[in-house]
Amino acid sequence: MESIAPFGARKGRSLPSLVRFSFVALSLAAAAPASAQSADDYPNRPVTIVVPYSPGGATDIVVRAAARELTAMYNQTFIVVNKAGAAGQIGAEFVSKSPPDGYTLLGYPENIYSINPFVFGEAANAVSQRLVPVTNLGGSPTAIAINTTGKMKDVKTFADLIAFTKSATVPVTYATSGVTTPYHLLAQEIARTAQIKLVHVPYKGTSDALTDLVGGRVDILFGAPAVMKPMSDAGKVRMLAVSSAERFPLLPELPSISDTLPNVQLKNIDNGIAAPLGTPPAIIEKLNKAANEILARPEIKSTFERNLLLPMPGSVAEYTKRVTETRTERERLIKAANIGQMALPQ
Amino acid sequence: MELLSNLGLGFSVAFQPMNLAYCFLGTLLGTLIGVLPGIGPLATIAMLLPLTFGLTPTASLIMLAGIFYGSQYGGSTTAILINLPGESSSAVTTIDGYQMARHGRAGPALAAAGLSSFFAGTVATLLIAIVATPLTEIAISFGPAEYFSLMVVGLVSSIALASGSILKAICMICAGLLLGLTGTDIYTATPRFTFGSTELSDGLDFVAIAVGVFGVAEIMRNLEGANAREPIIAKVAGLFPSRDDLRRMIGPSIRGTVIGSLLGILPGGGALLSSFVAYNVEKKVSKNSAEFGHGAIEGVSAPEAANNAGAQTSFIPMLSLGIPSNAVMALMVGAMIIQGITPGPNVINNNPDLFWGLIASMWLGNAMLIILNLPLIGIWVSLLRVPYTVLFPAIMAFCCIGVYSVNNSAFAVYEITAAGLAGYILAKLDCEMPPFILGFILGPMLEEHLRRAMIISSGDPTVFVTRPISAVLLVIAVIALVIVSLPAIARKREVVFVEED
Repeated sequence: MESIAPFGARKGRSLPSLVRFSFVALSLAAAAPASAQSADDYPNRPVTIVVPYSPGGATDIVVRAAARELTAMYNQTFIVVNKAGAAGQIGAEFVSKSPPDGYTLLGYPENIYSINPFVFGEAANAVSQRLVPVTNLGGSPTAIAINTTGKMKDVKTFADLIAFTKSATVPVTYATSGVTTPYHLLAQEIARTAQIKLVHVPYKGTSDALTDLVGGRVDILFGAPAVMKPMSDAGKVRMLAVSSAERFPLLPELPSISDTLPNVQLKNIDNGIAAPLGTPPAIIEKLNKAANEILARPEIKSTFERNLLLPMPGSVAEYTKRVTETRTERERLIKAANIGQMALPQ
Repeated sequence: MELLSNLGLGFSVAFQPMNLAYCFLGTLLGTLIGVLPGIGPLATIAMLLPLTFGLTPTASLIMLAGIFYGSQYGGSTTAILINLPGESSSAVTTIDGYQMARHGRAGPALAAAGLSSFFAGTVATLLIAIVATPLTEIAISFGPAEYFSLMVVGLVSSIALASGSILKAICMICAGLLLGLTGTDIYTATPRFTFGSTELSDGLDFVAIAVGVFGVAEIMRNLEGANAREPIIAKVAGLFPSRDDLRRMIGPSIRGTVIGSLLGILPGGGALLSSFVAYNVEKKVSKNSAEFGHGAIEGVSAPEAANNAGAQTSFIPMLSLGIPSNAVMALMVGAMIIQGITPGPNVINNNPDLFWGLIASMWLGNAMLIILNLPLIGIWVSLLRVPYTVLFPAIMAFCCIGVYSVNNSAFAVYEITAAGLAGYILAKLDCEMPPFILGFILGPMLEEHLRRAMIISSGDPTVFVTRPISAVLLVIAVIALVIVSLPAIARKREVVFVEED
């Protein structure tokens, strides 16, 4: 009888020791890949890239394109997971608390580091300090478009727009995808420098704002060029300028705003990849090299360019310098616009 | 005759074996996720998007579109059988659909939902083909002032949604409005009702709230009485609608289709709103209005026609302008971009095979759905015979998986739990959920558009009456308010309420 009694039927002997043994064995097994980890066999299991925005946006597009190529390159799945919310903070916080082993990465929109710490307070700043840049992928400047039918039908250039606004008798309105976005900061900077009055109309997304621009209910739109380009091609809106210091190679016909307002510019909105602080530098280097390799591939280039995103190859050091410069610029604009701390999610 | 040649081109594309196969796959998947509560088309399309990279642009869009309108068919199934909307746009179908099931008429209810959806789908497809471009102008002419007035109409008519006490209905609308305002104020970025929580900074998850207050609360109520289910099973009689049922479905289907087609074009939850509006309209105009809330087949036909028509016409602004009218359409725009097609006014000229092929596939998809769904009715009804001890844990698990998958967020599971508990307590107090849900949806939109309209008009409130569309909508709201508050009707409502007890 005793031999067929189930495990642990007799109290206090075989089961606890067996359980203890299997726990030890299991935890050893779990620890094994971590301890044996080096850049040489990375990645030896699937890698998760968390995109802190909804599917379909710029960050999502560049990260999914990169993940597809990385999966083929390493014959190891790179999974893209969307964790949207709180201007990217929910996904960013999740990754910042993940194990720094290179198997959880963050699709890294620039605002996580350059804007959120200054508007969402110390908690957001702490998250931004627990992430390290790995590689840039693609970015674009901000574009400015106006309605072509209403009161501004004679406005053909960015200089015309400034002149029109100066002499306007009714307030000139501009739409953006929200308060404290880079678009909002740029519009405020232009208004300050040119000493004009612009009324901000925030929207939940650029495509909502575009509808009201086409319908003539707002006068100006500040946003990503990819969103307004089709309407511009159809002659329903007019794109006037881009925010970068030089012309944007994918829209070479548009002048820079600094041609009209010297020293006014807004650095491109970049989308890259970041890793939790403490990730082995060898893994970061390896990922950066791989990303640079795939950014040179024609299919990636064409995916990016169709979305008016410029592929941004570069070393880890170059990307780190770039995010720091962007942060410095945005911090200055936020302070100058006197936006201050408004939302404080802890 | 250009239309005929265009449709000819469309059908020649849609009938290609590959496209036909992906159309079937999409509608099948859509039906499945529609039946499963919580798992919606948004999460499914987001998950499947990467898999469409390898397909042709037309095949991938045909499949993704099939998932979307297929889910509108499936969503009514659980709404009718277990009072749990499979999709948020089926929330209003629970009111009469579930009552029909309780009276043993689950089969006719399911058939009514399927047939009305098919009718609406056919009409909406034709509509897209004929008037896509002019209808787009309507969407463009809707600004913040017009939306605000539309939301006012919605809120006023939501009072009519209640079958019980008007006072309780207004309380529930207000509760919905307040909870809907949770999150970040888009005009100042100030957090509201977030208690310092990052998870709450984008507001409460609508799917979690809807599934919680309708589904989880209903399950808890059912668990109270061990034998609550027996009468339903005993009375399942006749799977298909009678001649009289069919006759009663015609009017509501047509009206629902018209309402759904018009509201679907407008950005922001057209299909969802249209099902509520269609139900309210039917409740007012039907000569069987006394039956509403007790299993009127009109109360199933109208909203189901409306949500399917709305789902399909919501493609119009996306296809003809590149402007997504809801989150699912935003994903479709993303899918087009990935495929190398720039969504916008030029798609119809540059990619006519895609444009017309997609439209033709919608009609084929609708035909497949009705063929798929009618024979399945028997199977769905037999679900009612599954013992509660098996059914409930399975439903709860699917609900949790569904809300989790929307944003890969465990917080959504807490939300559904809290919403379920609150919904149960409120149901015990005879408070109804449809007005609450409508307040929850409309409140934030009302505020968003009111404030935007005021910013644009520099604080001039006359903008709501000087813009013609807005003025007409406000007049409709006033008329609706008068009708709802007429003493005679109010008394009648009380009587109905008492009889129910």
